[in-house]
Amino acid sequence: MTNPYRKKQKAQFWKHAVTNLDPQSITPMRPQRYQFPAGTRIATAGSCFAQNMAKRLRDDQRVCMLFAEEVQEGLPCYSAQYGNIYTPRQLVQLIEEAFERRTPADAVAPRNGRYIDLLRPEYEKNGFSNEAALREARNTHLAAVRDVIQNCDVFVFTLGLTECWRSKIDGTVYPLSPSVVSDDADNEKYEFYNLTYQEIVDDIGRLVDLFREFNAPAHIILTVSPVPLIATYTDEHVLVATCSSKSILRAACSAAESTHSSLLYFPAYEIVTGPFSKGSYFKDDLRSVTPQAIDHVMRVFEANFLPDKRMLFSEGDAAVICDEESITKSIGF
Amino acid sequence: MRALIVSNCATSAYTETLRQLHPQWDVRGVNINLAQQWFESSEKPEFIAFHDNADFLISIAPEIRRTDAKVIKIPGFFFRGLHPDSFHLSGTPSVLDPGGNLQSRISAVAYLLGKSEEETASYFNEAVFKRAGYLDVYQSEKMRTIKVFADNDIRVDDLFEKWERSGNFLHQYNHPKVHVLVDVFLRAINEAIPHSHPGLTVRDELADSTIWPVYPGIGRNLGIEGNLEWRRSVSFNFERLSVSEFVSRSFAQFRTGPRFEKTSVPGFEIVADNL
Repeated sequence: MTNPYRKKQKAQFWKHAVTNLDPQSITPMRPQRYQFPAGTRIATAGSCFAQNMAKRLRDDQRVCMLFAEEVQEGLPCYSAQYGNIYTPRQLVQLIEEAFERRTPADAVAPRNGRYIDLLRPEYEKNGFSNEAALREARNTHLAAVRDVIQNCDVFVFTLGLTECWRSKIDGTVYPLSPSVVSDDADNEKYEFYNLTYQEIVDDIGRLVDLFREFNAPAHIILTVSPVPLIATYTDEHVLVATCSSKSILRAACSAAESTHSSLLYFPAYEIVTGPFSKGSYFKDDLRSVTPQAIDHVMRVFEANFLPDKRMLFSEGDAAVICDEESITKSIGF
Repeated sequence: MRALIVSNCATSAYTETLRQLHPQWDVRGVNINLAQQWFESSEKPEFIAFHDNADFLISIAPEIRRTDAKVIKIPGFFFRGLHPDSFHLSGTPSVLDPGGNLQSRISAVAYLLGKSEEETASYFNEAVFKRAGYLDVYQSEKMRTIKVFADNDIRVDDLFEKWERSGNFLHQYNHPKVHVLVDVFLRAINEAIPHSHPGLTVRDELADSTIWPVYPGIGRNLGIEGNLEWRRSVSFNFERLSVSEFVSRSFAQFRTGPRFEKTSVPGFEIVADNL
């Protein structure tokens, strides 16, 4: 009987694809390269790790990083000033709000006599002077979110956590516990929640549906942040909670990818956490990711998705009007 | 109603489609090169009169002359994902149809590198195609094509799925099969020209023109087995060329035609490094 693995490529064998290779050269490519055309407009969102991609791609001439709002000094670098978006539910709710599909019941809280946008508490960290100013800034931001969603060719979203804090009133999820960012948040209005595998899969499905509605040609690339949880609100050890959270997110990505053709998974998580780096891709706190890790991730991302710096085709192909003898030149004249 | 179609090799398919959708309309079509010639020379006043009085102008380049008609722009369809080796070499007649300039990138590169005809024919294999990146450009071309049409408010991403299910949906990189052209046309006219969907029977005129093969390996994801046989157009009795005949005739053409440099061959270095 023939060994069924004989027809598989080297990439399918740990010994050839990992053990015997220089760690820096390990390149987990997709089964088929998915090359973006030159000028592809890329937008990013997600947990803190997602910023690295926007920072690296914004100077790459082969693609166009989409920035609908100015990136402000000291704030996360994303296509709009949404700050960190840790869960697909948070992203889905943001898009629904931007397209007037939902209005969060509780999104403003006071701090030191000023007002905090609970949905992006890092923005205007010291708070707005009044609620009207906050709402005006939020409306401007929501217009930028619409711009990003409708005008990107590729949307890269990095999933960070399953743990979240949500409103007991309408289920709105927040990037941080409202009680942490506000001095007057009513604890009774919020609850801790740990999203399940099925909820993550469903939320990714809702994300795909929203893109289908507002920008059907766009592709979504999912990644999972390799950065461990800074803290867990569960009673588990933070290491165990991290593994649980990342495992659920990672499995949900594969499930979603097999269901939706517009969705691709990119293995940034595997590149950073794979045993071949022997821990060298994390800084001394064993949580922050090193520049070498980012280099490796982006090298593989470019190899998988970005066009070769040397072009196979000419842009002039678009202007070619063929002149074969057999083709009709006019009808009715 | 009067409707004028101005396009590339799709002119016939678009014109025939609209005529079948609206048999009572006066629908006429002109190739864009000829239209430009007629605009500049005024040798065809009835064409200019028809253009200027048309109710609908469906054009690949509506900007070339002012019009009061309802304008629908349909960009030219070209998709290099299944035929990454073919390209137009300006000034060098194609051995398949001297009216065009379609050449093989591998043949042109090998010729400039001084390779023999036999060596060149041997480069037409899946390993070379893979190394040269020919197997990687399908998705990129798909995204580019979807974007070009989306930029003109014509959605084709869902149509691609249908075309892919049909297998090879092209005759050559800028000659889609007629069902593709009809789909694009119907999607483009959308609500601007109300229409029902009768059983359209549009002749595939481009099936009579040159057919460039999908090389082995390149269309595997679509279930296309691939081959290395070039078919000439009806004007040349559908003559079929094997890879050795194709390379031999191409080299003869390169030797006797205008001299060309590697800068005239897009992707020269990529292919040259991978032969």
